[in-house]
Amino acid sequence: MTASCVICAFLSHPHDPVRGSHFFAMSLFALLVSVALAGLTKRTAQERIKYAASCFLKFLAVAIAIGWLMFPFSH
Amino acid sequence: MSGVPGGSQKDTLNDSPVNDLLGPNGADASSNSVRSHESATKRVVLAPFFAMAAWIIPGLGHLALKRWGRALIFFSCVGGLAITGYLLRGNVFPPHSGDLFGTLGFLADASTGIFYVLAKFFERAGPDVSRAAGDYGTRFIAAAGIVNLLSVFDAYEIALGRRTM
Repeated sequence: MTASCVICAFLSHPHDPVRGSHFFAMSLFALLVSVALAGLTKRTAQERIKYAASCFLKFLAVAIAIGWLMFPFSH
Repeated sequence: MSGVPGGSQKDTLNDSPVNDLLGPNGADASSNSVRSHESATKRVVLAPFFAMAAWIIPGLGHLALKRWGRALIFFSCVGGLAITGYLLRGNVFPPHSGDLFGTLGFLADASTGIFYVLAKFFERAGPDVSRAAGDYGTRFIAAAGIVNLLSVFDAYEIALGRRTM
C-alpha cells in the first residue's frame, strides 16, 4: 500500500466520504498551521504546546461557527 | 549618555548565533568597536544565505543557525502541508501562468522550496480541482508556502541578530 493510499484512507469517511474528508482536512490544516505559528512566536516547549493547542481549538471553533452561520444559505 | 546611537541594537546584534559561526573575530566583537562593525557587516552578508537555505529546504536555515526545534517544526509543518496538498490533488501553479492570481499562486507554491520541485513525484496523476478535496489541496500547498516564507523571514532576522528568541 502506498503512502498516498494510507493518507487518502484517513482523509475519507467510510459512510460519508465528503463530510469526513472535509472535517479531517480542516483539522489537519488547523493542526499544522497552529504548530508552525507556535514554533514561530513562542520560545519554550511548554509555551509552544499551550499556544498550539489554543490556536488549534480556536481554528476549529471559528470554522464550525462559520459553518453553522452559512447553514441557512445552503437551503 | 554613551554617544553611540543605536547602542542597544549593537548589543542585540552581538547575541546573533552567526557570531558562533564567524569564529574568534565574531566572538570578540563586543570588546572592540571595529571588530563589532566588521562582525555586523559579515552578518549582513551572511544573513541572505541563511534565508536562502531556509527557502530551499524548510528548516535548513534554522538548522544552520542551531535552532533545532524550529528547524524540525518548520520542516514537519511545511512538508506536511505541501505533501497533503499534493495527495489531495491540489493545483500546482506553473511559473508562467499569465494572470495575476496565477502568478501569486506560483509565488506561494514556489515558496515551499524543495517541495515545489517534488510536486510531480507526489502528484503523479496531476491536479483535480473538480472535487472539493482538490481545491483544499490547492490551499494546503499555498499555506505551506506562506508558512515557509515566515520561516525564511525568521531565519533572516535571527541571522541578523534582531531576534534573539
